[in-house]
Amino acid sequence: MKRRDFLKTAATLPLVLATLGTGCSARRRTARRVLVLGIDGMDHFLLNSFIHEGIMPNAARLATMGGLNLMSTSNPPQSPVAWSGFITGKGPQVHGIFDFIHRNPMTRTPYLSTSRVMDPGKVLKLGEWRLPLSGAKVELLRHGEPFWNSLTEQGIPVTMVKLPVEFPPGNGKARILSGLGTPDLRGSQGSFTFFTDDARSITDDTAGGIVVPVRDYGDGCYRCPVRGPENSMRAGNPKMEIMADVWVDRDADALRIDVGGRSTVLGRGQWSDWIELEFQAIPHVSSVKGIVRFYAKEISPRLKLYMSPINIHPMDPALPISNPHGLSGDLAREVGLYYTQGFPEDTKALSRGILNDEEYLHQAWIVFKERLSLFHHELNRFKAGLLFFYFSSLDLNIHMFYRTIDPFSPLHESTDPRFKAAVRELYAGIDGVIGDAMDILEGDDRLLVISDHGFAPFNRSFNLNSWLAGNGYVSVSLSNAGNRDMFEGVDWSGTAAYGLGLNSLYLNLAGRENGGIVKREETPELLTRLKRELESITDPVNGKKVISNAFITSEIFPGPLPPHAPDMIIGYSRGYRASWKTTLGGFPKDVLTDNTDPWSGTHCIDPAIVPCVLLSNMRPEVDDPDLTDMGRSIAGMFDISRLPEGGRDIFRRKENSG
Amino acid sequence: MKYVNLVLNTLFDVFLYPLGWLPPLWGLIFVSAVSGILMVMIFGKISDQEGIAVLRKRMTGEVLGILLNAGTPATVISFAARLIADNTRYLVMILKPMVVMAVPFMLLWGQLDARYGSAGLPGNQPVTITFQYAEEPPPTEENDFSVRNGGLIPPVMTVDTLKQVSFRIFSHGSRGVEILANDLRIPVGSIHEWNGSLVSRGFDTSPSLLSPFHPTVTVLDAGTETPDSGWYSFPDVDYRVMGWRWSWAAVFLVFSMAAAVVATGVLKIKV
Repeated sequence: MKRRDFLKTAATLPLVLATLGTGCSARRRTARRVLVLGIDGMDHFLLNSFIHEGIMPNAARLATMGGLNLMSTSNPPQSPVAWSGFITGKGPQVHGIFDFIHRNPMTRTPYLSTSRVMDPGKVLKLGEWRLPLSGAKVELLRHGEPFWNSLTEQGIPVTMVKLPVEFPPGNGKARILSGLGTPDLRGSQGSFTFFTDDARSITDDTAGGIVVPVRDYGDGCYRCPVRGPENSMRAGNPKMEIMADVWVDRDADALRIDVGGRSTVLGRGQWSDWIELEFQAIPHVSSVKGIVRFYAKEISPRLKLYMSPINIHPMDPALPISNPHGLSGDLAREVGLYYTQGFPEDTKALSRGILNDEEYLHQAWIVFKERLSLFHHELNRFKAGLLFFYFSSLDLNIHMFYRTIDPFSPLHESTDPRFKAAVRELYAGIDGVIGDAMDILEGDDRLLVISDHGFAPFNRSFNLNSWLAGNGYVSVSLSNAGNRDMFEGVDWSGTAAYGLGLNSLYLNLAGRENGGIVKREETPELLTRLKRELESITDPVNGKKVISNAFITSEIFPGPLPPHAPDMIIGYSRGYRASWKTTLGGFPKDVLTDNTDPWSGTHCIDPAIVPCVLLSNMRPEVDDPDLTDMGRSIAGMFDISRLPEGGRDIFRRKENSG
Repeated sequence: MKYVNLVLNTLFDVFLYPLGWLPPLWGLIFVSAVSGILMVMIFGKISDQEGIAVLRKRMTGEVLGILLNAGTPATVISFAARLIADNTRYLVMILKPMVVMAVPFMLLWGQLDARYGSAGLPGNQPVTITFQYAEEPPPTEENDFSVRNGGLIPPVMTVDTLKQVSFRIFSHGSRGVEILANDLRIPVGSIHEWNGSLVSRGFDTSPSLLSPFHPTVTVLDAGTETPDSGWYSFPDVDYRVMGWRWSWAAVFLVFSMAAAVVATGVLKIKV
C-alpha cells in the first residue's frame, strides 16, 4: 500500500465505522422485540423433511433468513435438563437438574427433580384438625440465575409463558406462567380418573391415573367419588373427596354430570368444557379449587367416563403457578380456562388404553388450541422486550405417535392408518404458529424458534438394573423382584451400582448411600469397567449396540457435583432407551424387550443423536451453537450493558472470535 | 307467590332500567349504595335512637373506666361486666330493626345474585339447561326445543328418576337467547338487550313460599306439557374494582357499607 493510500484509509476508517455504527466491537442494531418460540422436541430431521415436502412454508421462509441450524442439546437430552441449561446458560453441575427423576441417596426413593412441596413447619393440633401456623412451601430445585434477570434489571420487559422448569415461578419483575414441571392438584405430573362399571377395565394399576369402579343401582345414577388432593388440615392427611352424580339416559346415549352445583350434559364421544371443582379442607373456611374436563367414552351398555387430571385452577391457584400471582387468573379471564399442568397431553391414558389413538389426539388438539389462544393473546399485547412462548405439543405427541413414521416400530403395523399423518399435522400446526409469529415482526424485531432436543425411535427397552444384576453389580433375588419397583428384593450389601431415572446410573457409594459398599477410591476403576462393559452390549436380536456412550459424570461435568448427581449418564443408541421399569428401580426378567407401549419415540439417549434446532431471522456467527448459549444470545439483542454470565452470544462475531 | 315474584321482578326491572346502558358493575354499585343509605334510614326510623345514644355514651364511659383503672383488677372486672351487659342490651335493642330489615335484605340479595352473580351466556360456549317437570317428562321425540339467537347441542337427555330434561345450548354472541320449548318462551342469559345487567339463572312457574329469597325467577305461564321450572349452569362472574377482582357480594357489601357510613354521618343516625 502506498503511503498516500494508507493515510487516506487511516483517516476515513474510523468515520466509516462510526457511520455504520458497528465500532470495533462489531455492535449490531438492537432489537425492540425479541420473540422466542420454545418448541419442545422439534426434530431437525423431521423439520427438514416437512420443509422439503412443503407443509412447513413458514419455517422454510424463516430458514432462508437465518438458516436451519443444528444446536447441541444437554446431556442427558431430557427436557428439564435442557430447558434448565437454556434458562441459566450453565450445565447440570450448576443448575442441579440431571434427570426427570432424582433419588434420595439415603433411602434411594425417587423424587421429581424440578420442584418439591414442603409441609408447613408448625401446626396447631385440635383433635382431628391440623391448623398450619405457616404456609406450605414449594421449592424450585433448579438453581442458577435465569438469563432474563439481566434484562429486567435493565428495564427490558420480559414475559415467559408456560416456561419449563420454572415451578414455582421466581418473584422477579418478569411475567411468568409456569409450564413443564407444574403438577396437578393431586401433586402428580398428571393423574387421570376413569369411572366405569366395566369389570374388564377395573385394575389396581395406578400408573398415570386411577380406575374407580362405580355402579348404577337402578335409578340411572352413578355416584362418582372424585378424589382430590390430600387434606393437610386433617390428621393422617386423608384425600379430600367430592361426589359427582352422573345421570345416564341410555336411550339418548347421553349423561349428565352434576358436580359443585352445576350440570354438564355430554353425549357419547363428547368432551366437556372445563368444570370447576372445589374441595373443602375445612368446610366453609378453607377450600382448594381445581378444574377438569370429562370425556364420555361410553354410556351404554357400560359407563366409561374419563376425567382429566385435576388441574390447578388458574383463577384461584392452590400453588403458585404465575408471577405476578394474578397473571394466571387474568389470562384465564381473557382467553378462558386452560390446562395448567406441565404435561397437559394425557399420554398415560393412551398408554394405559383408557383413551384410544383418536380420543387421545382429540384431547391433544384441545390442548394445542388452548395454547394457541394464549399465544395469540400474548402476541396481541407484545409491544416491547422479550416474549418466550412454549409449546409442548410436538414433544408429547411425537412420543406417542413416532410408531406411525417408523416402520421398525413393533407397533407400526398395528397402528390405525388414519393416524399415520398425525406427526405431519402436528408439524403443520407448529408451522402455523411460526407464521403467526413472523406476521407481527417489524423492523429490528427478532424471532427465534428453538427446540430442546430432537427425536428418535424407541423400539427396544433396556432393563439396566436387570443387566446390572446379571453381571454381578446388583445382588437381587429376581424371583422376588421380577416385576416390582423400588429395588424390592435388593441386597444392598452386595450391590455396587443401580439404575434409576431415564439415563442415570448410581454407584452404591459408601458414605453417600445408606449402606453403600463402594469405597471412593474404587470408583474410577469401577466406572471405567462399567463404561467399557455397557458400551459393548449388543442386542441379540439384531446385533446392534445398545449404548453408544456411557458418560462418566465427573469427566463431562468437571468440578464438585451435588450428591444427587448420577455417577454415570447412559447414552443409548438410536432405537433404544431405558425401560419404564428401570426408571423406577425395577428388575424385569429380560434385559432387552420390545417396546409395545404407544410411547414409541424418545430423546433420552445419546445427545449426539438428538440435537436441537435453531431457526431465526438472524444468522448465527458460530458453527456449533449450544442451547446454553441462547440466554446470552437473546440478552445480547437488546441495548443493555450487562449480559448474563453463562454461554456465548452466538450472533456476535467479536465475542466468538475473541 | 307467582304474583309476588312478578311484582318483585318488575320492580327491580324498572329500578334498574335507567342503568341499562352502563356496564353491570355500575348498576351494582348504584344499587349497593342506595341499599346502604336506605338500610340506614330504615334503621333510623324503627330503632330507639335515644336509647342507642345513651347506651353508646355509657359504653364509652365503661371502656374509659377500664383503661383508667388498668392497675386495679377488681374495678376493671366491674367495668367489663357492665360493658358486656350494656352490649347485650344494645344487641337486644337493634334486634327489632335488624329483623325488619332482614326481609328486604334477603329479597335484595336474591335479586342481586340472580342479576349480577353470573356471567350469563358466554358467547359460543355451551351451557347446560335443565328443565324440571311436575309429572313424567314428555318422551324425547315429543320435545320441541329450539333456540333463538343460538343453537341447541344434541343430545337432549331425560332423567326419569328426577323428572328432568337436560341439554346444552350456545349463544351466537354475548347476548341472551330464548328457548322455545313446546310453546313456552324461556329467556336465558341477558333477558333484555337494553340492560346488560339483567341475567337470570333460571325460571319457576309455580314458586314456593321461599322463592322470592332464592335467586332467579322468571315467571311463566305453564301448560301441561311444559316444564315447571328450570335452571342454567352459568359460570360465576367477578368484577374488576380498583385493580382487584371482586365477587358481586363483595362489591355489594363494601359499597353498601361505605354508603351507610356516610349516611349515618349526614343523617345523624345512631347505630
